[in-house]
Amino acid sequence: MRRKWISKIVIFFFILQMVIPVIGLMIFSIDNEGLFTLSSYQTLFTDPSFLSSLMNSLGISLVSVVLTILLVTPPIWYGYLYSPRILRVLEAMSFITFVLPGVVLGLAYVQFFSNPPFALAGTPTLLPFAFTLFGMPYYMQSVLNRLRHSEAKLYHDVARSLGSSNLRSLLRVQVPLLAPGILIGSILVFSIGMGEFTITQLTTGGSFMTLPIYLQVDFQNNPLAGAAMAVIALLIAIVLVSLTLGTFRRRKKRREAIHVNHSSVEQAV
Amino acid sequence: MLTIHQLNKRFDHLQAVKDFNLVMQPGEFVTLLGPSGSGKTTVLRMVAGLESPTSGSIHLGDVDVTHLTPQKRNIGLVFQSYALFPNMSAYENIAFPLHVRKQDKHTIQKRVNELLALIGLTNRKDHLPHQLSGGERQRVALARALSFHPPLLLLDEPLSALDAKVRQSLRITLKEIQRTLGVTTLMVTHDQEEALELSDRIVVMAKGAVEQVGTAMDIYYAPQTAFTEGFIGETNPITAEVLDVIASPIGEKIYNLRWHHHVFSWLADRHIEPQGTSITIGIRPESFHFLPVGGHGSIEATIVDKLFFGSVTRFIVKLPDHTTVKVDAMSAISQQYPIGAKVGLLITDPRLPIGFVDEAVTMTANPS
Ligand SMILES: Nc1ncnc2c1ncn2[C@@H]1O[C@H](COP(=O)(O)OP(=O)(O)OP(=O)(O)O)[C@@H](O)[C@H]1O
Ligand SMILES: [Mg+2]
Repeated sequence: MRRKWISKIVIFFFILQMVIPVIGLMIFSIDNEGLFTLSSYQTLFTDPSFLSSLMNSLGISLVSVVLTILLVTPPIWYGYLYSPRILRVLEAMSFITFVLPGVVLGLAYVQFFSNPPFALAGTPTLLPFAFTLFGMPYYMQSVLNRLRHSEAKLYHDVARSLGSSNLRSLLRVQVPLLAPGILIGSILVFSIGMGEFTITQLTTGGSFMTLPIYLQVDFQNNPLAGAAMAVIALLIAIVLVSLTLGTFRRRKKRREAIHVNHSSVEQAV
Repeated sequence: MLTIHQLNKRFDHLQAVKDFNLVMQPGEFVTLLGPSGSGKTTVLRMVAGLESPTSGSIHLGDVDVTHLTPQKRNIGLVFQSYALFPNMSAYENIAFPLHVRKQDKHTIQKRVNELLALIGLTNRKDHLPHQLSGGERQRVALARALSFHPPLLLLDEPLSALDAKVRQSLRITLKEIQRTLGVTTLMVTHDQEEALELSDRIVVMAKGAVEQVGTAMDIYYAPQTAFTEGFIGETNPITAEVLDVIASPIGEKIYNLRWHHHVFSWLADRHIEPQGTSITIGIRPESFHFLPVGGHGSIEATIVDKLFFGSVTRFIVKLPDHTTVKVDAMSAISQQYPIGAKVGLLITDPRLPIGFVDEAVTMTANPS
């Protein structure tokens, strides 16, 4: 009983220390010497370079998500079903990115990709690959978790025994099965893309404006607008999370709806 | 139909299947019966193509399928856990193999509806698997495995996840469907009752190897190895004196035996040979019969305990030499035999024609 109390208090303070700075930032963004104002938001949305950096960030994050899904999902899936060794290698690899700071990777990229034939430094081409690499541990764990709980191998065996090609099984059976894991993993990769600063700065040399870079520049020039931007970033995150949760809930509802339909038919009969 | 020759499967250091041989006739229902870990599922998965054998061959008809992918084998497989695709309705699950085979819409619709009617789930066709009961799911899984008219159906413990009542009724459904369609069926189970009830032949497996192949009667009354005898049902080992050996009308050896002054006939088991003038055989509890005490050639025995099993009651019976045997009798008559009562005990071999039983009893009545 007493332990419950203690843990409740601990959780309360934990949440408080996370929430207070955010609330502070929010207040700061709408405060004009004690008066309410949205002028900082106005400045932001009328600034064309804010809008373009927003589009850049969204674009690069989406590309990273697609890249991750296409590059990372198949080897995890194959490794989980058929080759524990591949899976171990992948897992080990994904942990490298935990200990590899962005600066190091960024500098390595700049070093390696500065000269032909790979003169990619200064362009955003490398960013999706970097974000994929950074997102991989999270993406991998969420897909693996789903694999472990969905008996993917069993369903693949079933599909094959019923005559299905591997590709059809993958698209018609495995993807729906793994969708929740892929979705959650994608959101994690997406948010990494939306927030990454170091590598973007290093590899593009500031030629490619993304939200974090804009934020950094803007915050120095105009703290108010910077705060407004941070709040917007927060809103984007909240929208994303609720979208995900909403997808799950809708699914569940749809299932229940089918169920209700049938029971009413039965009652009628 | 299905010919499995010298099949072996090794997982690292574990010999999961050892020199497995089986030839199945078209339309036959064969069961693989054995304890957990005896390699039953592994055999089934190799036949389905989901596991590749270490050595040996598998033929379907004249086709060597040993190295074919599962997709090319056209075998229906039902898994223990149903394994219906969770994102598809009952209808879509059954239609899946037909879509795979690129059949036209109309044909698919007709076939699926036909199968839904066969399994009695027409009004549940749009339900997702999690909205169906265990028994319903298993029926959908069966329909799905049969939808593409496979020449061979494989069942891996299809009923084991169901409760007793559903299992019983589904057993009957399964047998009916199998008979109606005439599909050759290989089933895995560790439920001996299920195996005895459903199968034309049973393959008893232990530690990856075949212990015995035979009809239910063979396996039950003429176990060839100590393992089979111990694994299936209960037996009472008894040592009797050999009086005489005669030939049955179809040339089998029949012993006339004496045990505690009771003389009876016993069909010779191939693997049991008399040692000198005596022989040790296993008597099933239901091969004993009660007579009133002192009855015609019977052994005088005392009932020391009774266990009620439902339709059958098991009696623990003490013999004149103070050893005990287990005797099963219909519960309907068990009231006549309270604990402590004296009874006359007889043995009859259920495999023998009536005449032989009579002859033995006559011999007992007129000992020479
Ligand atoms: N993929 C595998 N890798 C390693 N060992 C395996 C594998 N599959 C099965 N085995 C082993 O092979 C042996 C036989 O397994 P199998 O599943 O065929 O047994 P079973 O007779 O079906 O048992 P049960 O009645 O419990 O289902 C077991 O010891 C099992 O641990
Ligand atoms: Mg098994």
